[in-house]
Amino acid sequence: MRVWTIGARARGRAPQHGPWVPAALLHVTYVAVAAGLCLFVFASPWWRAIGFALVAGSALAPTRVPAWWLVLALGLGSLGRAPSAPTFEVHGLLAGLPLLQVLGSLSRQLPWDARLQPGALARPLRRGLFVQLALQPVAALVLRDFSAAAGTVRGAALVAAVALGVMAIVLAWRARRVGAFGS
Amino acid sequence: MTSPEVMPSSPRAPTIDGDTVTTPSTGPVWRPTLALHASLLVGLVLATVGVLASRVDVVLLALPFLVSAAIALDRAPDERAESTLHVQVTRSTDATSAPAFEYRVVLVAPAATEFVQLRLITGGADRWELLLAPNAECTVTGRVPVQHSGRQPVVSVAYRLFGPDGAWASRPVPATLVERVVAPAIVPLESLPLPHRLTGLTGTHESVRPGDGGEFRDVHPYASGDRLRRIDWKATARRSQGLGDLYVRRTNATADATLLLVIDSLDDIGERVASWSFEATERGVTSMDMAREAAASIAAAAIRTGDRVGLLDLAAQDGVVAAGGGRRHLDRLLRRLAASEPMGTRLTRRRAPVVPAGAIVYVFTTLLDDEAAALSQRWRASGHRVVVVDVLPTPRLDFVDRHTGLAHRLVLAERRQRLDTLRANGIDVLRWPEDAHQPARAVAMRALATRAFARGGRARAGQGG
Repeated sequence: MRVWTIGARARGRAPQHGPWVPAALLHVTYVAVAAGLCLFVFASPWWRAIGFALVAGSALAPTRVPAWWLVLALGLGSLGRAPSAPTFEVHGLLAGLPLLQVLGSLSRQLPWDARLQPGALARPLRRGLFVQLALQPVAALVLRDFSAAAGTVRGAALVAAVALGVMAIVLAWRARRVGAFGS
Repeated sequence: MTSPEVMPSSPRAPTIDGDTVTTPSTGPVWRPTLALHASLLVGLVLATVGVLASRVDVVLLALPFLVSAAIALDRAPDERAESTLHVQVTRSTDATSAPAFEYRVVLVAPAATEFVQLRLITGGADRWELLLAPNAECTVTGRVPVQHSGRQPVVSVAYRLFGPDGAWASRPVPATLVERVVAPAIVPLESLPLPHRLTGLTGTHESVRPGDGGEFRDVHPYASGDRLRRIDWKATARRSQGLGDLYVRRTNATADATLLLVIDSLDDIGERVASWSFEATERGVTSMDMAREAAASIAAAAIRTGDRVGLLDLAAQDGVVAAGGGRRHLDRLLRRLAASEPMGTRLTRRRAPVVPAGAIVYVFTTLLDDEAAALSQRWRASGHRVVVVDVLPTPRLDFVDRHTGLAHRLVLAERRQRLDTLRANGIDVLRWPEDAHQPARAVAMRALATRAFARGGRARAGQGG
């Protein structure tokens, strides 16, 4: 049996688990990226105010205001810009929105005082990078061909709608097969 | 992703192998999270709006979400893959620092796991939330200082696994709690107060009853039953009036004392007054700590001198250890003391617990309610010597509001009244200081023991033996 000294008030040592960063850094990054995209996308002060309110809500109460509301607002907000112009803003949004979604999902799970092992982010970030490496050149080509200056392509909307429908059906079929919608 | 859930205590029985607790391998139940649904929804909405508005850039924005959802759906985790948690708790081998437990948590996660959310609660108070990368296994080590005696939680581990991009999450695996029982410290005490009546035919205490083993008592005329070797021939030659007169040298008999240690385990009162009315994580030294330490020290000192010690836990249903002596009995007492816990409710009793004849009763109590004081007075009235050991820690009044401060003063006033009543009824009251390095305990004990002689306790000793 162990003999101890009464009155010892030493605090416990923090758990050791290799390199770590505070999860607050993740939250701060999320807020920075989200605020930057709001400034980037919304031109009207009113829309910016709504965007910042969503940023604050999703950062402070992520269970009540999910990050995907902001992602959707930012995506739809791009409707207010010049249509289909091959600009830097489109490429920025194309990279920023998925990053925002991942950061929002993670910050939703982790309280501000949590600890984050950098290795835990390696796989999602690597996957995101590969997707971006494939998507950005495609986006550049598509925007160049479909920009207003290049004129319109007949039937493109129909082809896109059919492709979108097929993609939706395939995703829904796959999601149902793996039980993503619950049993 | 879904919101974090409260992780309940484990209903499963973990296997214990020495210092390692292993939870059974489980196939985690995977569920899609809000992240997957959000990716699908955002992707489809943006794509639809983009097509309807003839905006290629908006359709392009939908693509990464749809690709991410497709990857997550394609890499749905396998339900048959299992995860296992090992928690090893050992005593710290570092002799230079304060006593502590060292823990090692190893989580073996299935291959599909992208990251692990681990929730540790160390020492029952400090909460740590970790997000780890499971390369082959997650290993977390740490150290928990021992702050109290008795049963205490060392580490509680709950975890949750996440699939690709957090699109899949397992149900939270219930917490595995590892507890250890810490024995109280034993303070060396040289002298203890003795009961008014010593019992038994042998022991280390000298009684006033004639017998073998003690110091010289007197020279007495020979009587039937006296041993022949006790005849004092010189005294006989000096004093005898006739040929038949013989004188023997008589000695005092030795006897042992019986102690009954009574623990008032209704509540565990911390030194922080702010923690008295609600469950606090940091309570400092508690009354049960002091009671365990005081009882263990007195039991060890008494058994070292050959006395018999019994134990009574006032609030526990099976709280009686019959009086006994010897090293094994001391171990039994220490184990029982270490396992004593605050019960929260009193036992309903019709009469006072029975105390062995001639025993001295030590009552370890905070005197914050009437029961221990009433029992002490009843035992004193029936002829036992009673020592009340006050184990209420010195109060710390930090973070105490005005109302709590007033309530605290009222409680202390009632307590002072009880102490005065006890003293007026001839009950000794001993304050047990919480500072381990203070010699006041031994000094107070010696003063009590000396006071017993001054009152003529020794003169009465042996009358019932």
